[in-house]
Parts: sequence; structure tokens; C-alpha cells
Amino acid sequence: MRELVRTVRRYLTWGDYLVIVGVLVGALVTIPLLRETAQASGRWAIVRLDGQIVHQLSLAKDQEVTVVGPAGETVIQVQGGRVRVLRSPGAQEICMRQGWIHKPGEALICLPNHVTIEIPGDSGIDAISR
Amino acid sequence: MTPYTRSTLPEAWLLARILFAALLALGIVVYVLEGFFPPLVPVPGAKLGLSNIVVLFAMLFLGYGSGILLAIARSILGSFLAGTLFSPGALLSLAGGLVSALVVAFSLKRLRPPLGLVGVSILGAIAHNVTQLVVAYFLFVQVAGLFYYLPFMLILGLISGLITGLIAVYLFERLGRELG
Repeated sequence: MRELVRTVRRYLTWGDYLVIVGVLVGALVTIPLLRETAQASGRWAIVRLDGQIVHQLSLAKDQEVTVVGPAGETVIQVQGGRVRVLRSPGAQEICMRQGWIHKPGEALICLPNHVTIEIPGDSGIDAISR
Repeated sequence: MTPYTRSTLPEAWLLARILFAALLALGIVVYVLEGFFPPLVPVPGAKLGLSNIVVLFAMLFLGYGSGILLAIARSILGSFLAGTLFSPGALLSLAGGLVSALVVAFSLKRLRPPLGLVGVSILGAIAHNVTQLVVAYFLFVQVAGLFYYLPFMLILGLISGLITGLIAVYLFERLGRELG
């Protein structure tokens, strides 16, 4: 093992070390971009009343909004990058029991009050190259 | 670079052509065989790029032009044999191989020293990965999110370039001893 390390070190010039360190630094600097995009894909929740967009909520900001529909008030809460329905009229409370959503393609639907909350985008796989 | 041409030293010229053909054959075989192995990391298409050792060798012993030509021919013929010719992946591989060869030729000529073969190899591998990202962006998916693969591509390039570079130094050193 020590033999191997010695051989490898003999193979590397100081310029090589410089390249290695440079690439590592470059990767570290660009990693924040990566984290940003992971959130960016699910950054918005679109709230619709009767199919018309009434709110576009940023999931990056904790907030509560109220939508007034035909059956009453639907209260939507955004917290920690997720969204849920806090209160909504209706006997079955289906949209409230769905809990939190955060992934693109997920949706909450409060049928009695004609309110839908949708996180746009899809999470499909792209292509394979070799 | 090469001190001989077809007219000044026909034997050396012929030997160089034969060596080129043999290296190309070797490069294609390595390229295709490598594609058969399951990926070492869970990223589609990620591989070591062992055939770049052959390209590096051609650059050093036959000249930069030969090395670049070998890289192009290897990508086209290799994709042909692997059955992926005309697929998006083959185009990415060709573009990556070409730009990578140009970067390797440049760094061999201008940046060595201070760089050694390992550093050159790392630069080549990263050029290969980044080119694929850029080409994929312009030709297939115009999603800015694609560039967020950059850190992965840098790290993967670093690892594969390091490994192929070390193998190359070892091989060339052995070869130098054998040839005396």
C-alpha cells in the first residue's frame, strides 16, 4: 500500500496537484447551484379557483393565503418548501387529509370549493448516452 | 512535430501509419469493451474513458494531428461497432471526444511542464464531460437545469482523468524501459 502511494506521488507533478485542487474548488463552488435547482423545480404552487389562476405561491417563502370559493374559505399554508390545505369547507376534508405536497406534478384538490393547488413540472427521466 | 514525411523518410512514414492503424484498432476495442461494463457510478453513461490512454499515446509518439484524428475515428467507428451510431449518445461522444482531444493536444504542447500526464488527462476528461453537457443543451434539451450537473461532471472527470492518467504514466514508463 505504501509502495502504491509512493508510486502515485512520483507520477504526479506540482501542476497535476494544482489541477486536482482547482477542479475540487470548482466543484465546491458550483454545488450551491445544484441545490438551488433541486428547489427551483418545485418552487411554485399554482392555486386555481374554477380553473382560473388566483395565486402563484413561492415555496421558498412561508405564507398563508385564503381563497374564497362558492362553499367558503380555503386556507392554504406554505412552510419549509411544502404546501398544504389548512382549512377548507367540505364534509370529507379530502384535501386537508392529503397533507403536505412538495414534488412537481403533485396536486391538492378541494372539490366542494372548486380550488386546486398544483406544483407544476414533471420529474421524468431524460436520456442515456454512452 | 514529426521529423519525417512520405518523401524524406518513407520507411518511418510507413511505420507511423501502421502504428496509427494498430492504435486505432486498439482504441476501438477498448472503447467498445468498456461500454459493456456496468457503470461504476450510478450515472447513465459514466465510464472511465480508458481508450483515451491510446489517444494520449498517439499524441506523444505520432504527433498531435494523429492523436486528434484517432480520437475522432475511434468515436465514430466505436459507436458503429457498439450499435449506437446516429443515436444522440454517439453524437455526444463524438463531440466530447473531439474537444477533449483538442484540449489534450493543447495542454501537452503548452502546459507540460508544469503539468504531467495525469493533469493533462484530467483536463481532457473534464473537457469531454463539459462538452457533452453543452452539446446536449443546444441539441436536445434546452433546460438550464442541465448545467446543474456541472459539479458532478467535474468530479467524475477528475476521478476518471486521474485513473486513466496514472495508468498512462505507468504504461508509458514500462514501455520506455522495454524499448530501452
